[in-house]
Amino acid sequence: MNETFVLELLGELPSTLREQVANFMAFADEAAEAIYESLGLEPSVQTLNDFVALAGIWRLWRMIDAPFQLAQAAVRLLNTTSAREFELGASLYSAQSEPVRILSSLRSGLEAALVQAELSSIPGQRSLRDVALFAYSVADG
Amino acid sequence: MDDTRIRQSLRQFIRRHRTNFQYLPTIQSQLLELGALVITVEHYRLAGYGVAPTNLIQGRFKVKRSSAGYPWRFSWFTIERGAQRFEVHTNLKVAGAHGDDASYVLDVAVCRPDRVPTARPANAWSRLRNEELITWVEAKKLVVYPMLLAQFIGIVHEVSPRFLAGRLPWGFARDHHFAPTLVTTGHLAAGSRDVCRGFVRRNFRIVVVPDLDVSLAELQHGPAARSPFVDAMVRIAAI
Repeated sequence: MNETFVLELLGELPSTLREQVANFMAFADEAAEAIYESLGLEPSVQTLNDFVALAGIWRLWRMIDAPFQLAQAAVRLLNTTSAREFELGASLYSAQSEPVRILSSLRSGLEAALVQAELSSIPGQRSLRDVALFAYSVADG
Repeated sequence: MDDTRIRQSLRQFIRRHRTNFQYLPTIQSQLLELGALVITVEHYRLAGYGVAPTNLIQGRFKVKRSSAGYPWRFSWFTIERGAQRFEVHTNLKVAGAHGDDASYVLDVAVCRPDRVPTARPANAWSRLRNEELITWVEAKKLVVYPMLLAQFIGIVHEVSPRFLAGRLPWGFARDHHFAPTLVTTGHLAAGSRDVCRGFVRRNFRIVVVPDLDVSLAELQHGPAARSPFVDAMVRIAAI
């Protein structure tokens, strides 16, 4: 795997989302050396390529999981108060609202796809360092 | 890793959810604004404050999303602990701290109670007096690069300079307020870690919360004993 592999894969996403992933992969590429050095590991070229590609997939996950977590936190807050829903312009946010349904569907869809792709550990990665360790364990470990 | 398997499963997922993906950029922006409000209210709830939405409109909490509009046409949170009571507003216009005419619209503002009119006042109301502001949050959907930190420090300097030098306001720690905070959904870029450490060395009282979603997700695990604002600075210190 490499960066191009992921960008081709995400070709059908809206451009703003594609850019978020591309920018993050560029950041991961720049940070790779320092991250592996801090981990005391010497990665192969294959590991470095895998790391950047996995960072892109991790970013895709975060792009969906982040707003999902924010929405869940907002819903939890609603449950402790008398408010029925949050109104943001034309959008409503509650446990049953359309944006929350969309996020939930995207999240469970991606989770299932990652299991199918044998990348089920991606959602559990907490940082880019975790992703780097995972890439190393797959290729060089 | 099986490239073919990865390609097939992710491509299938993206095609199946093509319509949902079209909505995601809008949802991301809306939830950043809401997330900043939620994280603020959670901070006070964890500190033992009672939290009550105020000025609901048909049972809905109407979030003020920009500088436009009068605050009394939107909702806010009232927080109360013993004799202490404060309000949490979104996109509130506040006077600067240096006596000039400048006003600043803060994404989330914590202020003394009953200073923001709850209905159209007899005399025009344009902004909150700076002395009534307790603390505030700026939310950005950006990676935390040094330039973003510098911009944030600029706002602190204009709105709440006492957090960059001098004493904290009386009762600030007792009432469990947090310092002016920058929250982002982006990560902390490598160069920014040193900048944040530098802020600590220079005794700047500010908070930087990168990866806002992680902070909020952690609130649901176990006994959420610590404020997400405190947690964020602990995490940065550990990097």
